[in-house]
Amino acid sequence: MSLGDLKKNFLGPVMAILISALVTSLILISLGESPEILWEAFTSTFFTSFGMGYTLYYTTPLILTGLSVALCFHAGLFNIGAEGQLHLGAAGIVAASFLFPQLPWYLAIPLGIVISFLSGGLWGLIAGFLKAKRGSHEVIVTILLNFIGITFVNYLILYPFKNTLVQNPETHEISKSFFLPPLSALTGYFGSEIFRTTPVNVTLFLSLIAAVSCHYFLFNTTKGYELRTLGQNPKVAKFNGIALAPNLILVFFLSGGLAGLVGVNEVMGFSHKLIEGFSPQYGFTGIAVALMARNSPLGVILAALLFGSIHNGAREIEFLSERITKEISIVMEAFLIILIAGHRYFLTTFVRIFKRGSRD
Amino acid sequence: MPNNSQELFSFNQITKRFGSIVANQEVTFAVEKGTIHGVVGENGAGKSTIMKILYGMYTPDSGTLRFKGEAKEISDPETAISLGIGMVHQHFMLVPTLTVWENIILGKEPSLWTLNKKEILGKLEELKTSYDFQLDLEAKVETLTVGQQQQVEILKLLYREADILILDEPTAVLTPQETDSLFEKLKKLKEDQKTIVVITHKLKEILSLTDFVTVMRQGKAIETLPTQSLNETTLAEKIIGRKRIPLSNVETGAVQKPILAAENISLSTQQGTLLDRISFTIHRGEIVGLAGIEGNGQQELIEILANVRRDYQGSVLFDSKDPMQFSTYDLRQQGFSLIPPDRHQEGVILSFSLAENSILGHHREKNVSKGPLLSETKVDELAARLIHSFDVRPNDTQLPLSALSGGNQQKLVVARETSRPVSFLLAAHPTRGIDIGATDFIHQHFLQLKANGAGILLVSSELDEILKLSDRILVIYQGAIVAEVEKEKATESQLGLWMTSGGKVCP
Repeated sequence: MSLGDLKKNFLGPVMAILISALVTSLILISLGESPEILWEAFTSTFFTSFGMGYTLYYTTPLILTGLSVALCFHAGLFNIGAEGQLHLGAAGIVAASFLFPQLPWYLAIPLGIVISFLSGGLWGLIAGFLKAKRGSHEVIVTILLNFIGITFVNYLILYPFKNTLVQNPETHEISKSFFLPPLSALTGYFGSEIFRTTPVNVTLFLSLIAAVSCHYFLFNTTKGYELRTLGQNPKVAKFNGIALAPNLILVFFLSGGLAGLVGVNEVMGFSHKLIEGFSPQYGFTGIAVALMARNSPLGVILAALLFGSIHNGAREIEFLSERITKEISIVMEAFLIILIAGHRYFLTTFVRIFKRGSRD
Repeated sequence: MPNNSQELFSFNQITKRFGSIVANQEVTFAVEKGTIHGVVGENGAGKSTIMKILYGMYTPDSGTLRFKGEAKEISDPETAISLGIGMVHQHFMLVPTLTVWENIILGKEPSLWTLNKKEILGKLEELKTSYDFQLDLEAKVETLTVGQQQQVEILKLLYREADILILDEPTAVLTPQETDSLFEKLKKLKEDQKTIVVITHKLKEILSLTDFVTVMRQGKAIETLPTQSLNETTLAEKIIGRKRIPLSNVETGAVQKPILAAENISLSTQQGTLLDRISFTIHRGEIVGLAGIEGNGQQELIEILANVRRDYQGSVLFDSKDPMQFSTYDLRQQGFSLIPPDRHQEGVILSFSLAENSILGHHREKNVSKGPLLSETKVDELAARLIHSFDVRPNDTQLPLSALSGGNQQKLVVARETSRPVSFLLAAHPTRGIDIGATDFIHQHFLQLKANGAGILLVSSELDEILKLSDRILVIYQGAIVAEVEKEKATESQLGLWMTSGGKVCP
C-alpha cells in the first residue's frame, strides 16, 4: 500500500476517531466529569490484559456482524437483519446441544459451528428469497424478521429451554462437549497469565478466518465476482448472464450465516447458555462496522476492534465514574458514524477552508 | 496562432498527469471570441482533460491558462461559471424528477426563501424564443428525449449567462434531425458573440460547423488550423497522424446457413405496441444492418434477441435452437456475442478494473477460472491481450474503467465480445464515441469475423456505418420492419426517408 493509499483509507477514519473523542470529552466536562477518564478507559481497554481480553471478546461478534452486513453491501443489498440472525444462530446451538448431549467434543464443536451458521443463514435466506421471488424490499423484510426472530428466541429461552432452577431468563447449560476453550486456557498452557478471567475465546480465530475467507470469496471466486457485479449494476449483470434470484438468495444465506456464528462466541465460548438480551445490539453495530470499513472484509477486523474497544471502554467509564453510565458509548459511536458517513464531505470542506485560508 | 487581439482564452504549456499517465503534455492553443472551435483527436488524446481544466474540474500540474489576456487560475467549476464558462457533459447532469425550469435554476436559486417563478420563466421564455428552443418549461425532465435534455443543459448555461460553451461529444446520442437543430442554435449563439468549443469525432460536423480546429494526438495539441483549409481526407490524416487505410473487403462465399432467425416477434406493454410482427433471418457470413432512428423498438428487439427479455410473442431461433432454453450466460457460451447499446447500463462496470471488465459475461470460462476460483493472473493476461490488440489507452489492466475515455471503454467492450469464437454478433452502436482510427479498425475486424463465418446484426443510427458494412439493410420504424434492401440498391436518401416516415410518404 502506497502512502497515498494509506492517506486515502485511514485519514478519514483517524480524524473521525479524534473528533468524536474530543466531542465525548466535551460532554464529559459538561457533566462535571474529568475527560481524563476517557484516556484512562482507553489505556485500560488496550494496554491491560484484562481490558484487552474484554475488548477482543466484544470485537469477535462485531467482526462477524460487520462481515454479514459488508457482504450484503457488496451485492448492493442492505442487511439490517443481523440481530435476528445471530439470535437464531445462538438458539440453534442450544437446540443442538439439547438434542445430542452425548456427542464427543470433536463432533460437538463442528456441529455447533455448522448449526449456528445454518440457522442464522436460513433466517437470512428468507429475506433473499422474498426479494428474489416477490420483489419485497430487503430492508423492510429484515427489520420485521428481527422482531420475529428475537421474539421467537426469547420464547425458547422463557419456555421450552428455560432453566427452571433459576429465576433469570436463561436456558439450561449446554453440554460440556460443546464448550470452546477461552484464550486464557491457551496462554495458560504456555505459562502466561494474559487474558486470565476474561471471556475472549477461540471464536476470535474463527471470526478472523471468516474475514479472510470473505475477502477471498469476494475477490478470487467467480461467485464473488458475480455478486460484486450485481451490487454495482443489476442491469449490467443481467445483460452479461448473471442471474439475479439465485445470487440474492445465496448472499443472504451467507450473510445470515456469518451473523449466526455470533452464537458460537456467546454460547459455546462464554456463557454456555442462552440468556435473554445477550446481544447488546451487535447486529446493528455491525452496520456501523461495515460502514467504517467501507465494506472491506479485512477492514472489518480493524473497525470491529475500534467499536469493541469503545464498547468495553464505556463499561470501564461506568466503573470509574459515578455520574456516567455506559450509554456514553452510544454517543461516541453516533458521532463516529456521522463523521464517517460524511467524511468525504467533511474532508473536502476542511481542505477547501484550509486552501482558502492559505491563499488569503 | 490566431491574431492575439481577438484571443479570448488560451492554454499555455499545460501539462496534466494522472499517476504515471500523461493526459496533457504542454498543450498550447488559443480560442478566439465569437467563434466555434473544434477539438478533435483519437480517444484518450486528452481532449476532455484539457476542457475539464478550462472548466476547473482538474487543476493542471504545470502551465498557465490565460483568460481575457491575463493568467487565471480556475480551481473549481464555480470559478469557471463566474467567468462565464459553461460545460455540457457527455452524460447529462439533470434531475429526472424535477421540471425543466427547476433543473435550470438548480444551484443558482435566486434566494433562499423566495422564488420568483414569474421572473424566472419570463427570462427563460425570452431565451427560448431567441434561440428557438422547443421545450415545455413545466415538463418533467424524465419525460424528455435525449435531444431535449441536451437543450435543457444548454438553456441552463445561457440562463447563467455563460459566454463560453463547452460541448463534449454533443451529437453522439442525437438523431440526425436533432443534430441539425443543435447546429442551428450553435450558429445563432455564435452570431451573438458567444464562444463555443466542441469536442467531436465526426469529421463532417467539424467541417460544417467550426471556424477553427485544434488537432490533438497523445496528449499534445499538434496544431490549430482554420477549418476552411481542411477537407475530410486531410482532417482524418491529421487526426490519426498517417494516411487513412481504406477498408479492404474480405471475400465471402455464397450465403451460408441461417444462424439467427426471428419470426413474428411482437411486444406489447402498457406503453402500447413496441414491436410489431418482426421477422428476419441472418445467415452465417453476412452483415445485416438494422437502420432506424433510436427509440423505434431497437432496444426491445435487442433485449429479446439477447435473451434478457422474455415477455414477447413470436419466436427466435439461434443456431436452430430456441435461446429460451438457455440461460443468458449459456447463450453467450454458444457463440452469441453482444455489444450492448448502452455501455454504462449494460456493458461495463465503471468502478471495476479493466481486468475485471474484460471477463464480464465470460467469467466462468476455463481460460480464466478453475472450478469456482478466479485466476487473477489469467484474468490479467486476458485483459492485457485485449488491451493490446485493440490499443486501449491507458493500457494498465488494474486501472478502474472510469479512468478511461468513453471511446476506450467501448474499445474494451468490442475487444471482449469479438476476441472469442463468435457465431453471431449483435452489435449495437459499436463505434459510438470512438475515433476514426479505431472505427476503421473495428469495421475491418467485423469484416474479418464475417469472413470467418459469423453472422452480424449491426444496429446503428449512423447511416454511414450501415452503408459501409452491411450486405443487406433492414429499416425499423415504430416497431416494425418497413423495408429490406440489398446493399447495392440502397441510397442514403431513400433509407433516411424510411427511417423518418416509414416510407409512407412517397418521394
